Amino acid sequence: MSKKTVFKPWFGWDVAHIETYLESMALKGWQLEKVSFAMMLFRFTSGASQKLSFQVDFRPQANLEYQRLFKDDGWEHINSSAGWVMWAKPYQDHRPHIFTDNQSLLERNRRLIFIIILALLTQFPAVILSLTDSLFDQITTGLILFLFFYGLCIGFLIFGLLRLWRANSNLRQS
Amino acid sequence: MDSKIQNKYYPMTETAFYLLLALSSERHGYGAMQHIEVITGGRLKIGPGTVYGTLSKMEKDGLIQVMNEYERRKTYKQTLLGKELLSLEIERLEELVRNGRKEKEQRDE
Repeated sequence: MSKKTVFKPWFGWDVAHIETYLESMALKGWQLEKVSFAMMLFRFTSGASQKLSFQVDFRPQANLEYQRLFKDDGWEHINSSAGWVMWAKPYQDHRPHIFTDNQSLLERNRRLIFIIILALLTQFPAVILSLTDSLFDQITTGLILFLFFYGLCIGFLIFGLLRLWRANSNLRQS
Repeated sequence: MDSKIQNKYYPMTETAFYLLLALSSERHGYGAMQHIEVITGGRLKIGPGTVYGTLSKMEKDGLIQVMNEYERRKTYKQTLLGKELLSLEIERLEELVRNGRKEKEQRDE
């Protein structure tokens, strides 16, 4: 029995990417054994081929009723991390989905948009404080490095926000 | 009736219509999903994410209420407001069917 560990980063505005990847792995007989590192590190063991639908939800306040409902419908809980919840369900012909209308997909994206906006808003006090502070009196390499990565993180959040907005406007039109 | 809530559910999505209809009797979320699949002859399978979201919304808007809870399954039933909104939607759907049939009969003649 062989094992392999794959690092596979994915983004909240394109969950289909990781869903199809995991499904294709299961079909090739790679059974998912462990998920870690913010749902980006996947450990597989080789076994029988399985037809599994993987689905990702963003639900920071998932309660026990939520879990119960999915389990009653035959979904197996794969992992939860930072608001993300991953489910899988075996199937034969029609691939099952956890969301069956555009409205609920819109709402999943909105929950994520809300968290991103919150994260961006909390940056304001830090930015204002650092501008009024004497932080910028001496420009050091450390400071430049810090600002570079800080800018990268903020840019990433804004990029995600734009992608989600675009995804939602497409959903509203379809 | 709160016109904001009325506008939100008029016209009603198919998901909201069938969930509200299923909750004419007390049922839990999964029970409602199964019931809907049966009465639509397997055509409509609503996903659990959609069911959970729609039930939370309808409970918040006062269309359904929690009746009981056992083994982490909450049971719901439609309220008077829910019943009223469902009747309004049925009237609207009847009008659609009536006009659709009339048009078809005229064409067939």
